[in-house]
Amino acid sequence: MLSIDLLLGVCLGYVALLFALAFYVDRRARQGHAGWIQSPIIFTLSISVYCTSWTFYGAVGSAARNGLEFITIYLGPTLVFIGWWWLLRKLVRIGKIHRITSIADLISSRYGKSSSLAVLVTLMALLATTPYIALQLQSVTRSYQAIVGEVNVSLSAFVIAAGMALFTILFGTRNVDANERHHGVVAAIAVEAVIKLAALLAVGLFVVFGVAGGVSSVFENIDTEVIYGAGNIFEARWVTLTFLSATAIICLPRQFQVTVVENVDERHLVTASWLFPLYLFGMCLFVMPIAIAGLKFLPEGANPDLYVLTLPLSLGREDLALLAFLGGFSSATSMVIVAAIAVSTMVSNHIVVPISLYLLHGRREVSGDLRKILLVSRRISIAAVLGLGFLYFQTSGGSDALAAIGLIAFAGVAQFLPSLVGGIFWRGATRNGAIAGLLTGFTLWAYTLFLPSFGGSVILSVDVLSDGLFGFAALRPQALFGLVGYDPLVHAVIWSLGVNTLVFMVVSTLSEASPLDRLQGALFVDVFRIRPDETTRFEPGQANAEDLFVLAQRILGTEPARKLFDSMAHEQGLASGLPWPTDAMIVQLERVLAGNVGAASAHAMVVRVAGRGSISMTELIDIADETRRLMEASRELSNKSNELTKISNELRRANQQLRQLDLQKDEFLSQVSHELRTPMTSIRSFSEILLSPETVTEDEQHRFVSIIYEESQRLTRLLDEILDMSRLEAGILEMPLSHIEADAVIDAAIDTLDGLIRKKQVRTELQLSADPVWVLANEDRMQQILINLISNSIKYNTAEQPLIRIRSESSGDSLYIDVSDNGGGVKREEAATIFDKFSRGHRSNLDHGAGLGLSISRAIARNMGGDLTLEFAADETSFFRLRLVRKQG
Amino acid sequence: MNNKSDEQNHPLSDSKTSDRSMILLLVGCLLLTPPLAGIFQLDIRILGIPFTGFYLFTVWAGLIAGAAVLSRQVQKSADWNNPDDTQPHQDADNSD
Repeated sequence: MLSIDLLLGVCLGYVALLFALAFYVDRRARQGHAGWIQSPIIFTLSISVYCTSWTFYGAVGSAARNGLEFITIYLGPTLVFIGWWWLLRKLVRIGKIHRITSIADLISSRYGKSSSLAVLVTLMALLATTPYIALQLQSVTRSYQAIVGEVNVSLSAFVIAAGMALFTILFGTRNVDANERHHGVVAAIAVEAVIKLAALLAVGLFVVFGVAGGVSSVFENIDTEVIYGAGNIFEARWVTLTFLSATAIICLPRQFQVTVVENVDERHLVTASWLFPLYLFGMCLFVMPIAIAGLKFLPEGANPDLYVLTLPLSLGREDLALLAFLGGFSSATSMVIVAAIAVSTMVSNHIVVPISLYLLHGRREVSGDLRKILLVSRRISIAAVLGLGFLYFQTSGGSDALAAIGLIAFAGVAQFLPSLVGGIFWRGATRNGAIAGLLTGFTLWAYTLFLPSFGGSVILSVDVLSDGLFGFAALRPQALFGLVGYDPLVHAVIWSLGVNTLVFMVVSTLSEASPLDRLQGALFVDVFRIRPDETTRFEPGQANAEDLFVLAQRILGTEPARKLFDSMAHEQGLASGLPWPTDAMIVQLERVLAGNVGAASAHAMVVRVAGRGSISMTELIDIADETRRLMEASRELSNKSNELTKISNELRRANQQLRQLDLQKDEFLSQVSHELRTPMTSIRSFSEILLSPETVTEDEQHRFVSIIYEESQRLTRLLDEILDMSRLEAGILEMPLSHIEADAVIDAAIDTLDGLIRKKQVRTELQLSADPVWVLANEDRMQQILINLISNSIKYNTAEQPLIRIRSESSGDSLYIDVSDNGGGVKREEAATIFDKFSRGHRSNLDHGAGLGLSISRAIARNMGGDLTLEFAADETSFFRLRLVRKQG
Repeated sequence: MNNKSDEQNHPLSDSKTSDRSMILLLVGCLLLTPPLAGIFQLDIRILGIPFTGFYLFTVWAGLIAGAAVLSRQVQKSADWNNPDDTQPHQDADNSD
């Protein structure tokens, strides 16, 4: 038998070691050498505070009673960590940005910093945690008892509670920093985590290989009922337990403390996502073998909850028993310490501090002593929480009610789940919804699970349990509204959590969120989109022009804000500086801001900055920054889209032009082929006739050949013209310019056309300038133009006595040669198209010219630096005017 | 402390891996709860171990291995390699 002295000595030595470690780590951290304590492994080990003595001893007990069911308590957290760690990541991010100190703080902060919610959650957490702490005290005293025999239970429990209170106060309240981190505590918990895993593994290995003699022999001669529990293990209870444990790893105040508040680096979660499940796996691996060995080797009636300890003890391995005791002690103390820190933070921040501030209200010296008040209230809260746990243990210690409290507490904290998860994923969740859901869920939990667990001794009597409240059978706590046939735990979870979620959602959709509620909701739900700026923290206080100016700058931009404030100062008759924050000024500012961020937000912001709310300046500026960034982004986008519109318009225009050109080209080609076709057709048909000479007379033969000759000439002319045209358009027609005398060219043109003139009996009238005029032109081409113009006048002239007038006149550096006739001219409506290719005037029914002449002439004229236009005289008669460049000097 | 662009902070950047962990979660839920888990409640033994126990622990180990592989992938992705970025408030302010 282990001696009391040895056990106490080892215990005290262990505790002293933990104190020393915590002290050392705390000091190192404060010197800025956090180092290894901030590693992901330490973080993972600290999460294992989930495994309390309820796990260490209780898992084996549960396995001995119900078989494999114990495993669900570890499968839930495993599923959360492997698959839902990004939910935890979101919680961690929110916790960092909003300086969250506890789960009550998170929920109240999300729902518009509601103090009533904070108090509600704190009380619920206290209610669920106190019995749990009592359970740890009980397991330590029982294990102590199991080793040394009869002891004073109350005294040892008190010593343990007091020791834990001392440790927690020493290392849990060293400072009141916004980020509630306790490196010393985390280090101690990590060591304890290693001890408890090592102890359980050591006992397990001893049992399997030292006692049973191998894995397969452990399970020899064991009824499957022992392993599977009675009947089918995969039932509603299995699902419920898995779900509850998954919820607990998120909602338990102590888990929130180690996972969210104590977290120093989000990335640690990634390692924990597999390392923590691995830790749980290790904790569970030997639970079943130990339970079976206990049933085999220990006498009937031995407490299964202490198999881990009594098995090595009865088999004479006192060293292992001591290790197992330390493991159990570690699990209990680590849970108690972290739970005490977590719950006392809530109690202190949400209950003690508000009350003391209220009581001390009005005393001037208070403000400077806020720090001291916080520390004192934190310490008092720790003592109070542990005191409550001890009291609970005193009053209900040893009862079965206490042993069952683990799952009952899980179901209790699970009530936080809807408000918590809804709060960070659903903008529509409101404060009223959260309060209603939490109250309903907690009432149902207390009524259907917590109070009945006392077996009729607390509040609910035995009669109520069996017959229902006021004798209504429908109100039987464990068969509410006739829901029978379910395990009490499953029944309670279905009712409490189901109705909680429903009420939370229904009330949220029915109630209006306050502006602050909405604001916080947006900040929480979109936490990954908000830049974690390192803005200065402002003390919440009275309205102050500087704060309003900063806010305005953040929203309006520096220059507009300065202008606005200058003008407001001017209105107040101030020569310089910031305006007084009068009500009128605040209203005016709010209106300006509303134009930027919407009325509701502007109101909320200004009202809060003006000191009538509790949202901090930092958060307001976060929103302002966010809004501003969004506005800038949208402005940039609209600029870019304008630019794009412009470019696309240009492209469309260019495209249209191309299309038109394409169309013109097509038209030109079809016209060209049409024009070529006509002479070709007559040449072909007359040739065909000539191919059979017997039917044709000699006269006819002669006539046909001359037609073919004329048509081929026309064809050649046409092709020449087209060739000219395309050369002109491509700019490759060679046209050497020289100085020539204009009148001489006109004479030459008329001479060329002499035959035609005589034939048609046309009279020509020349009005040339008196002195010879020299122009810069190509003689042949100029003649071509004139011939074209004059022959047109002759060919299309229908007057009885055709008359052609040619006039030249110089003006400035240009020479104008006008060609007109008395043959009806060109109609005004034809003027626009007369120069187009293949265009013919109304007079052209006499001769089928190609219609290229004018367009070629104009192109030539332009090539020579002049132009060819159609002009109208005062009496509406038309004439062509050729402009040429005169020789300078 | 350098202020990186917040795209790097955005959850979308590692959405692939979070989707994959979602799948892992789904597989775990399906295999470890009824009705599917009921298929594996058999009255046979493997190496002397009752089959259901063997099954549960094997699935569990598989899930842990899957999570370890996924965490590898996450750690390789760029946005987890900027410690400054995800940690706006290191503990330097703890010295009072």
